[in-house]
Order: sequence, then structure tokens, then C-alpha cells
Amino acid sequence: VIDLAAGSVARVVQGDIIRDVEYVEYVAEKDGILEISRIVFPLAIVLTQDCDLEWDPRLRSEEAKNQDKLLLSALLAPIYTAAHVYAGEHLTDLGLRMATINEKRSPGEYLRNNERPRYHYLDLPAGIQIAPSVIDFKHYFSAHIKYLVELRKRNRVCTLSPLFREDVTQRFSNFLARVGLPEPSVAPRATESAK
Amino acid sequence: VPKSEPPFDPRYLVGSQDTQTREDKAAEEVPPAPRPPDSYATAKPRRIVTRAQIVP
Repeated sequence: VIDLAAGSVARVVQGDIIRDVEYVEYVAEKDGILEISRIVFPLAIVLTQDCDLEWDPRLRSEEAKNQDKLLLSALLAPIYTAAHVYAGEHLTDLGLRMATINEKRSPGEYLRNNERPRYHYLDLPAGIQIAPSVIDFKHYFSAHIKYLVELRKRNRVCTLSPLFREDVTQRFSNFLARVGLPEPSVAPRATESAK
Repeated sequence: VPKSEPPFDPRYLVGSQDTQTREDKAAEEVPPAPRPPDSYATAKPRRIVTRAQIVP
């Protein structure tokens, strides 16, 4: 079970879990008609480092000498209900079908043990009325800081404690740092036993 | 008058494998907090498309 931070501060915090975060998918204009498409994520977690988030509001005050460390946006990742992820149905309302993960067999166990780089399993305390969930690092997105500050005031669910939030962010950075290697162009060398 | 022996307490038995009292075991066997039911499942992400006329 994930541990939560006690209390809260009046700014966006790394590890914040926020409800109904909007992501602007696209803005298009044709024949004088403006079309804006947004995806609303029912739950998302803030991944941006807390030291950056701590500096940002200080630099927005009039007393600040410069805005050198001002943030344009914060990184977040969506949180899906684990049962939906197992069934591959967490994005059906967007018209997308995901791969299934067998909950009862090894794939489900690997997911819950955080052995799959793409996902982070969240089992929040019983006091938080959210079923077991999964962070999907592949679907990370950004949101403007000012938008998040206002949204957080009414939509913050909870904040992970420092140790658990660092675990999430470190696993996210490891996910981004993966190196995709090409398939070998030559056949692998025969092993001694095969000779 | 023969002295009565104190009641046997396994915690004071040197080398005993079972040094836990019934109370200790009961304390360890407290069931975990119940998981939230499926009704707490979060809604799925949804798309909202807004169209508006640009006023020149």
C-alpha cells in the first residue's frame, strides 16, 4: 500500500494526484470555425521534480529578481483503474483498444510488482476511495502550471509521501531513458552445445 | 506445605521456537484494511470536442 503525505501546501507538488485533468489534443481552424479537442483524464499524477515546482511560485512574485527557473508546464501521467487495464479497456471511451494483461498469471503479477517499466501499480490506502490503479508512463503529458495551480485547489485527491513519489518519478525517468536496440542483422553465433 | 509452581509460560523457555503468546499472534493476525470495492473504479478518460465561430 502506498504511503501518503500528511497535510498539503498551496502549490503543485510532485506526487499530487489530481482529478479531471484536461489535455488539449489539438486546436484546428477551418472556415472560421475553431475546433478544440480535449482529453479529460479522471486521475493523473504530477511527475515534475518537486524542487522545480517549489521555485516556480516564488519567481512569479513581483519581488523576484528574474524568472530564470520559471516552469512552462508540469509533466503528468494518467492513472487508470487496474481492472480496466487488465481487460485492455481503459481507453475504450477514446475509441482505443489496449492489449490485455492476464491478472491471474505472471503478467498481472509482474505489473503489481512494478517489474514492467511502463507501468506503476498504485494500491492507495483504504481511506482514499480509489480502486487499485496503474500509472501508465507511456501516456505522459504536460499541463500549464497556472492551469494546474487552479485545478489543484478543488481537485486534489491526495499526495504521495516523499519516498513513494521519488520511486514513481525515478521509475518514470528510467522508462524514458530506455534504449531501443535494433534487431540483430546477423544470425546469433552457435553455442558450444549446439556444435 | 508444598510450593505451587508458577504457570508455564513458553516465553521463558530457552531455545523455544514458539515464544509468542496467544495475544501476540492475535495482534499479528489483524486482517488488512478492506480493499475499496469495484464501485470506486475511476471513470475512463473521455474526449470533449468544442467548436466555436471565430468573430472577426
